[in-house]
Amino acid sequence: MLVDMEPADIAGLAREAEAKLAKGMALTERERLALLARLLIAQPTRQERKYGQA
Amino acid sequence: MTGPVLVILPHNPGDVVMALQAIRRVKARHPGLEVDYLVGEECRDLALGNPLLRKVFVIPKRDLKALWEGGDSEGVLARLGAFLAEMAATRYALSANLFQERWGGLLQGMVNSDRKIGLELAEASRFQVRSRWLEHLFAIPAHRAGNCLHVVDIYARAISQALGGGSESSLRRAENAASLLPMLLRPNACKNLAPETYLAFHPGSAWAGKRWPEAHWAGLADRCAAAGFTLAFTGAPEDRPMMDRIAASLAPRTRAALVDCVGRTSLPGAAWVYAHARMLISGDTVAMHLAAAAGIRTLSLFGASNPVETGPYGKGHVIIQTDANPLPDLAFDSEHAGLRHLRAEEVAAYVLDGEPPPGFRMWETGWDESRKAQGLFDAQRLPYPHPAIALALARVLDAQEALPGSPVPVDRPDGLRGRLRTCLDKCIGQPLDENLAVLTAIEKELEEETRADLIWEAYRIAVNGLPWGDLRAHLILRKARLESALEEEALTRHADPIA
Repeated sequence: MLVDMEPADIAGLAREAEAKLAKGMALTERERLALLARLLIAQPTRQERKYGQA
Repeated sequence: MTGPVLVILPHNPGDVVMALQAIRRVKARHPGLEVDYLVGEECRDLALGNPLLRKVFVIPKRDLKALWEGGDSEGVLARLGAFLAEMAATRYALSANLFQERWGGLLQGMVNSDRKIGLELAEASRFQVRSRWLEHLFAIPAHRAGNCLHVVDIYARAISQALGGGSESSLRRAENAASLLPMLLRPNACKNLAPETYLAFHPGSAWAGKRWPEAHWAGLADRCAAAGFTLAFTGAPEDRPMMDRIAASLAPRTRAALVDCVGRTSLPGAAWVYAHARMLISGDTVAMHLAAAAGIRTLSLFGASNPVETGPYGKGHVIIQTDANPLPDLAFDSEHAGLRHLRAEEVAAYVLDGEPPPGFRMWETGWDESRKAQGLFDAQRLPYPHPAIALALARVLDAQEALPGSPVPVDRPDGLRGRLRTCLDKCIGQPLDENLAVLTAIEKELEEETRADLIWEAYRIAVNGLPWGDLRAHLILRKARLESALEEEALTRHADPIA
């Protein structure tokens, strides 16, 4: 699983970002980037789900 | 508004082709409009060099993954930040996020654009969908069969409206098929294919629920080869084992007539194969969209998906629909019984002799001038779904820059909708906890009643994204959105001659 290889700093920032989003709080630039990176990289596209990671 | 415009729809290949079709429609209305595009790496070949687009941003996912797998957090953030900075260097008049996943909304929040439509993580850190057309798009999974418009028409209308072009009445049908795709080069695997002499087959799909059984493809191939056709098969590299099984079961004569391009072409290469074929036969796949984009006739075998919504876009494409009740969500993962029941000889009878398969619904795509959108027509040229439904819906959604100023009749003052309206008025006047609790209870009751209703699902999506910072302002916007949903419901129900 790709997400298992997630760098610890990004995991921490992304968790922080999710918690803030749940409370309707604004994110810092780094939190936005970390969350975007996590969603972009760790979540396979529909094609990747069928065909494996691109 | 004159642009430039950024369109975000990075995946999947079929969706990218449909976004390009929408851009073509919009550009037919705004010929000088400059459009940039954000695309994923696996779809880059469809966007790079495309004459419709000025600049293409390719998400550097491979680079990011390499850094990610190396544990380089700062490297990931720096690379992603640099990519976004490059995109933010252009100030857009409009960015249209047609992508329905969450990270598209995050990304849309970072675009430098005067106006944004689609999913966005806004300043208040709430995801919201701007544009009534795109709210409608997001609500479609709640009631797939209730959607009466093709997604290309939904995309085009959303962008056109945001550009200030008014309603769709000013949008024309775009005819020039040649301008939709990048230059198509003949793949090496197809060097012996003589144009206009062969049938193209695309048996694969990312979804099991969209695949016609392999044995049926073999049966169709044998019949077409016996009738003298050369057959060109296309597919992704991962379709290779499936293609080998199909090829192994073909009659010797069919194998001699086979040109096997599976896994041997790029997407534009596959489009070349379709563009020079007599006809493409496929499921609801990227091949169907590429062939339609290339202006070639298609025969599409639909299982779980809805041809109204994602059928081939353009005139004269034929669809065999094996299921009158499309699935309520995107769960197309299991084999489809309707497709299994559609036999090879029935499809062959249509391909070779024009005989429709008995017991299945069959449509031909066409342009419905009255509503400026694609429609499906049966053998008697009767449109499906009824155009009045789409007309009424379009009237409301096209008008939705300004929210309606006057209340519309609700069923009864003591009915669910009437109670919701009264309660919202009360909350706006006195936003007390007890009033808000009643509001929540009524909305829950309404959700129970309208769980699979497109209009109310769009209402819930919109309400979910309304800012909460100022409670009274939130409630006023919520009331306005309620009035709009009520108007939409009244018009649509009134227009539905079947209901």
